[in-house]
Amino acid sequence: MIEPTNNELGWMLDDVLKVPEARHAILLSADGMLRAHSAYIGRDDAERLAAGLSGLQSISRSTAEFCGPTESPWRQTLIEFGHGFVFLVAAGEGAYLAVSTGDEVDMESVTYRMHKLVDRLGKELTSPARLDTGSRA
Amino acid sequence: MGCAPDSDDVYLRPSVKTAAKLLVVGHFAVGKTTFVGTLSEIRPLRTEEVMTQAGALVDDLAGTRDKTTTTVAMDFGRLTINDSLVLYLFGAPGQRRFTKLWHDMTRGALGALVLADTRRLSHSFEVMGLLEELNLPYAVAVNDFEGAPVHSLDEVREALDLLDETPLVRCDARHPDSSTRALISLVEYLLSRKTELEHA
Repeated sequence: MIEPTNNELGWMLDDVLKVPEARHAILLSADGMLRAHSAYIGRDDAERLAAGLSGLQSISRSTAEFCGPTESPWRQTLIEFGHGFVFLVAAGEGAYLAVSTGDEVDMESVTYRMHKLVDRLGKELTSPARLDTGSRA
Repeated sequence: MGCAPDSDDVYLRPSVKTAAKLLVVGHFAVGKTTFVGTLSEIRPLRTEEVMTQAGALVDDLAGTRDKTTTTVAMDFGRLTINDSLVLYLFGAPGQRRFTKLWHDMTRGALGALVLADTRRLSHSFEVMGLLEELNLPYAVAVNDFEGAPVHSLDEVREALDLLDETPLVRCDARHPDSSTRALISLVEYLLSRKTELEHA
């Protein structure tokens, strides 16, 4: 069993939204559970998105062979809509960071900020694989 | 880690201290998306796509002619059981071509509810085999479809070759009460296993 998120790291995510046009940020664990969300997205929505983004990462990774035979780690998934973008990057072991933006965003500065955030948080952002599956730690 | 969750949580009460991730699995067209949608207290995540001719050879629609869409990635929903427990439901796609996603989705899950259909019980073996490979405990719920043959649970248990301890219940994925009961049978099973493990 695990504890539901208390959004302790939420304030750190707000930092990445200083890029013009950036909207929301979500931190999730690889098993699809919400770890933290930025201030202006509700928890119910953030939980649903966290689950979906974990599936997106899984599916993204499964297409690696399409690039060629070498197995290298997945780094980022980018989704473009008419009205904006979603960026999904690795955030340490077992965690991912997602940011949504408007369509006029400077993509380079968003990914730069995301990676800086991931670096800065380092250890705090990881969800190591659980060893206690099926029982309380 | 005792902070209260944000005040915008309409459903999730501050007293909720335990979250459990559970999978809802089963073969193609058994009612997984309906089940998660029936139980979720928040707007569920759905990834349904219209089925195309390309899938006609592999995705067997016998007996489910009204089905026009299929889940291509996952379903997700949340259900608060009581003051201290919240369940996160992850529905995995039923077709074999999605096995890779399936493996990732079992990460962090405590157990699975296998939905079964009496018209094609044998289709459930593949899913149960995968769960056993992954060492993930499961309960089985027979989703009662109108017009499907009715067998006693004993007969179903025998046909599915279930262990005596594996819970087996009937449910109607369209109805919240019956679906909740199916889920509770899984949770009770997981809790009893946990107690046994602790006392072992």
